[in-house]
Amino acid sequence: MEIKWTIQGGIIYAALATYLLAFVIAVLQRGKPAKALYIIGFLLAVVSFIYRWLHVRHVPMQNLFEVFVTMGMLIYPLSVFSRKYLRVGVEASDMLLGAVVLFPAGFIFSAEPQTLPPALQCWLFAPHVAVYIISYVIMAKAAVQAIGQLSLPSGPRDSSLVDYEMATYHMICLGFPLMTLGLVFGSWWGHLAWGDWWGWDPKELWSLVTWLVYLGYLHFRYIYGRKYKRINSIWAIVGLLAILITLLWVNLAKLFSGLHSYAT
Amino acid sequence: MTRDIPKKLRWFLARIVLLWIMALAVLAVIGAFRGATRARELFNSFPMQIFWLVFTLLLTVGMLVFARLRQKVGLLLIHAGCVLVLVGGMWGSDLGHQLQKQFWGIDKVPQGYMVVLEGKKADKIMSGDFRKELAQLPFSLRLHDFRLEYYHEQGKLLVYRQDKSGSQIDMIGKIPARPGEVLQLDQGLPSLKVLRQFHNFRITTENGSRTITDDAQAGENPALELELTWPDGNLQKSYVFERFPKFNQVGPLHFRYILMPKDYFSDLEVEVAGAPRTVRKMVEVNHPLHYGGYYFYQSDYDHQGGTYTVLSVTSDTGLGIVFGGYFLLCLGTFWHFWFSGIFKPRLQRINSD
Repeated sequence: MEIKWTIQGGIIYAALATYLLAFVIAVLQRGKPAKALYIIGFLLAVVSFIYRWLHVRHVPMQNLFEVFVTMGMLIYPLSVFSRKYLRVGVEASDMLLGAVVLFPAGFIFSAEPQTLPPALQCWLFAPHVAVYIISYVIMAKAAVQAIGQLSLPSGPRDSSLVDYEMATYHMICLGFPLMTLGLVFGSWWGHLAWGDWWGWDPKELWSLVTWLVYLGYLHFRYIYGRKYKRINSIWAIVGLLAILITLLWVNLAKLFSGLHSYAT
Repeated sequence: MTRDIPKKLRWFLARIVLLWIMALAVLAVIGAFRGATRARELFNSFPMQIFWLVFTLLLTVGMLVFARLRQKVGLLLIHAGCVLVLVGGMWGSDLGHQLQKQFWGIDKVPQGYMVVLEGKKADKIMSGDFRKELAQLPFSLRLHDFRLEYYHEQGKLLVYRQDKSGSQIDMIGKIPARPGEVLQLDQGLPSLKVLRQFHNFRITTENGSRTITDDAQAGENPALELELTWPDGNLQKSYVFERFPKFNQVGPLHFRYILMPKDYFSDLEVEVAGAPRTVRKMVEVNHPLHYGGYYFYQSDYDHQGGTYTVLSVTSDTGLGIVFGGYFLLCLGTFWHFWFSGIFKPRLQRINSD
């Protein structure tokens, strides 16, 4: 745990605090001020991302600090998109999610700038990591909806929104193609950089596990439909756990660091 | 045909596929805990070859018995894509190569390594430990030049001290390798100052006097010029080399100059006996050479003198099938989940407007 006494750290803390404040105000049923704070939090997260980009002079998605900074910026657009196009709501939880993903960037991971090793100097670096980050944020929102289904079976108060189980399914349908694309980009990149389209590296295997968990969810839901809503929801939460292990594996398991060790 | 197959049997098949997916997830978790080398052994083992084959058959049969998988374009693309990835993977596996040699006489090795000395040529694929020759290529690779580029601005100088018995070396300091940087060491030891940073250190001797220059010509010999100020006031100049660490010693102090490679390049030429035309390519990380059914990747290099390059060699067997499968899989997932799925009502509304 470290406090970052830097401009970068200051912007992250400001964004985190704004997201938290927006969440508290949203919980207190003050919709408009909460929304305004949510937008301010988003803008601060964008500033943090751009500041980092200018500082390190490459797309800031190389290490976990940069990945979490990027995630902090994606929450608000996802909230707006989900409500408008998928009728999935519960923005208050998204505000909290914004604070949660900025916390590791602010307090856990080192912000020490790193140069790009030769393997990362590839046009696939940005699209591979970007689609994965976007899919992870979407799947995190799916898991939040699943938690909503398990804890609030009555569903959302806003009748224009779909129920939590359907919302979970919609979010997974949104994130799964991106996750697939991330996996394929990674394999393509592995072929270019390491000579193998599939290297059985631990991080590769965890990303396969994550993909298979969501593939299993989609098959289970196809076979049983909405008959076992709670199992559907638990499955989506297990998917998020698999994402967390995949994302943090290089830090969790130094013994099996593998080819993705630079991504710490 | 679909109607003839009992519904119960079809749903049984769907459940088996689900079971297979989850079994693969569990095996992948086990593989992740075993590390890449042992995971590769596991997933290439004979029981796993059976597992892959059954998985491929299940998907193929699934496409035949579930009309939905054939009628919905997205689902058809996804499942056909998965089948192609599995078929391509099996075709390019160790067992796949063995079977191709046995039945069709195609003699290729799945993977290996080559070492090519600067100015020389090589045609032998070796095992990972370079002890066993795996194959001889019908052509050879000549290394015209090997070049290494560094992030010079990110260098570090590490300082170690040898204890009195000479048996142990401990790190006692670290500073950025930039001119002007100073490091104060413990009592009895000198303070250090970086005076100059060389990209390409050269010594020239003219009329009996030595001149040290940073040669602008092609080549890399990164070095640092240090000034050591001893406790008694004596000044000493010393040079620390990135590539020649055995020269980096002053009294009890050992130095290491660490630079991160930015990129490394092998200027390679393919030479085929009797053929007038040759293929030449600058191979670097992310830019392999593809020739004669193999990909040649920039894998490693001579860290001391930069006099040779290490290439990893991979057979291209099955690769086209796998990437064809990937293309169908991606196209299918976006088609099915986005355009025929969650965005369909909106797209229909736009079309009707």
